[in-house]
Amino acid sequence: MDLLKSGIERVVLTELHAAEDLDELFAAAGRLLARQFGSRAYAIYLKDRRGAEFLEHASGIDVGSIDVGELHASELRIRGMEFGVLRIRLDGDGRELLLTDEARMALAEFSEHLALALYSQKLIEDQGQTIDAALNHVQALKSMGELLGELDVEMLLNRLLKFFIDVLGVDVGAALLSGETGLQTEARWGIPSEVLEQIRLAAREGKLEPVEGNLQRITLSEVELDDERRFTLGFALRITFDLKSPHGAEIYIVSGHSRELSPAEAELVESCRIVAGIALQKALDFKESIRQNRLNEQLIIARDIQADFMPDELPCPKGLRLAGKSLPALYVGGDYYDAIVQPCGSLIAIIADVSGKGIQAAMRMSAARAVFHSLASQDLKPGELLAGLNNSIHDTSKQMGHFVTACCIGMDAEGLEVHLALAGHEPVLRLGREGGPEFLDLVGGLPLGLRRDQVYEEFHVELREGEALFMYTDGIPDAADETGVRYGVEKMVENLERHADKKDEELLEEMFEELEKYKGEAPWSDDTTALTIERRDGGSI
Amino acid sequence: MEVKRNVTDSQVTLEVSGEIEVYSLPDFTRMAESYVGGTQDLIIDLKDLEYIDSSGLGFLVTLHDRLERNGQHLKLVNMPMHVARVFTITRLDKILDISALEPSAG
Repeated sequence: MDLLKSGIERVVLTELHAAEDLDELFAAAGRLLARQFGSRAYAIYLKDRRGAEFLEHASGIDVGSIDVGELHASELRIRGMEFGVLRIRLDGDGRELLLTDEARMALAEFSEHLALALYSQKLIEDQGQTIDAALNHVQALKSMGELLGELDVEMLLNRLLKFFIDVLGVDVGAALLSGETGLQTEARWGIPSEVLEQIRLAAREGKLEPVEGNLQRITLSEVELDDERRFTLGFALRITFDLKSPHGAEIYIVSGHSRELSPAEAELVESCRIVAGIALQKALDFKESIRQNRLNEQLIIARDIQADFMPDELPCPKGLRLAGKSLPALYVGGDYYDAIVQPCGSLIAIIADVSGKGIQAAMRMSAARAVFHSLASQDLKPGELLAGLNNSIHDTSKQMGHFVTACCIGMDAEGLEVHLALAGHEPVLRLGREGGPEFLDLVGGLPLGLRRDQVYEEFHVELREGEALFMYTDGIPDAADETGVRYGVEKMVENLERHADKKDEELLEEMFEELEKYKGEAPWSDDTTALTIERRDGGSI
Repeated sequence: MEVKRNVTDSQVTLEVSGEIEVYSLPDFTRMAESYVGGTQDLIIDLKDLEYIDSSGLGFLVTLHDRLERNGQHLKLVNMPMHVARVFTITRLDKILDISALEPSAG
């Protein structure tokens, strides 16, 4: 296929040299393709947007016929000019024509070469360029096209700078790429940075003359430096590129000698500028996608770490059965539940909701968790523990407005007494009594972290055999469906009633499944967590 | 979320409609904070507020504290019941000056 590709290239360029018009070019291309595929007949034609054929050459095939296979169809476009749709038909004489990947690639290249040939023909016909000038123009465009494969932003910027310097045959230049935080990458070729600074300043001050499109001449004839050195600017051109915000790029081409930019050169630079812009954007997009992938990797790691924080198994001493479930709204979240057996033998459990979502909330949660464990190991009771946690969160929170709601439950070593304290948290439900789920009417304190030295009242809670406490974060009632309607507390209670026969993990699975069904395709609006504590046997009140 | 502003010499009223949550919060905080350090009291009318999340609650407390430090007052008025619930549960009704939405006559 190399032969085919170079063969076509030679034909295209050679024929262009000799061809007086495109008909001859098409004829030569058609013959070549037919020979390569062993086909007796061929048709190559271009249709414009309206479907009218404006250029065709066929041998042995009626262009309008439909009983031959279409080998290749592509749109020809160059520099925003659409030449139309190129179609190539070859007659296999009853034989199936095999279109391998290589053949496809070769044909694609041919289309590209043809587009360039059509473009250069246009340059010759419309702009009166000589064939040599048109060929140079086309060659430059092809070289620029090769830069589309360069994905390293810094390397690309250097290559683009060198390209424009060569194309215009000047001495020096610079390429600058800016992003969100200002100037990001700079490439200089033979130009002192002080001189560049002065040229850029002149451009910012509007000392510019439009040339064509995004090309401007800088109307500065001389630069004088602090050490009294002088640089003559015979010619200084600024080329700016169309990039997606927040990026911007510009190239300065400078010559000490005075020169004019011919219309042909301006046309060429403008053509190359457009392709260069595409290449730069592609490299920037690629860099961004790498960064995103790395970020996602970090989030996955963070999620795994946080999953580790959630207890695998909750302790279940003294005839109690604990179960918990938590889902973050984003990769990681600010909800937390835990239960540990204190040195004195009491059980202490907590469910907490850090304000906000995502990484910030998750990091605050991990800090709060560490303090909870530390305070719990000091045999503190729920009210005292929340007071200690409150001061710790308050004192370590530099930013204002962050807080943690929490419910802390304690069960003594004999499994007899259940005590509870609340810090701005959703009310606790008791399940298993005759009347169905009931909210415990308890007064809580402020969320943790807002005001120092708070007192969190402890309440004794009656929990008989077969009864359970259900604690949750506002992620459950706040879950929204696709129309934005929230789940609500009433639905949650109804659901608990409906599944009164279920306990522990089974009940939690049921609750979360119901929420999933409710929200449908809508994303989780908040971190969602629930914790149950069930009395299995004896030791009530 | 939309905010309508009404400014007099003595007070600024911000009428909020929609939801105050983590994504709409920056716009709201920018507007509200611009009055901190001034001479006017700030009134936030919540009658068309549909929902507020924990970030929004946290911001209101911060705003309250910063205004108070400067001798300004924050008042939350016309709070609908479904929103009042969250202020009650979190006990923020003990910190903030809140008045409920009066049920409309007839």
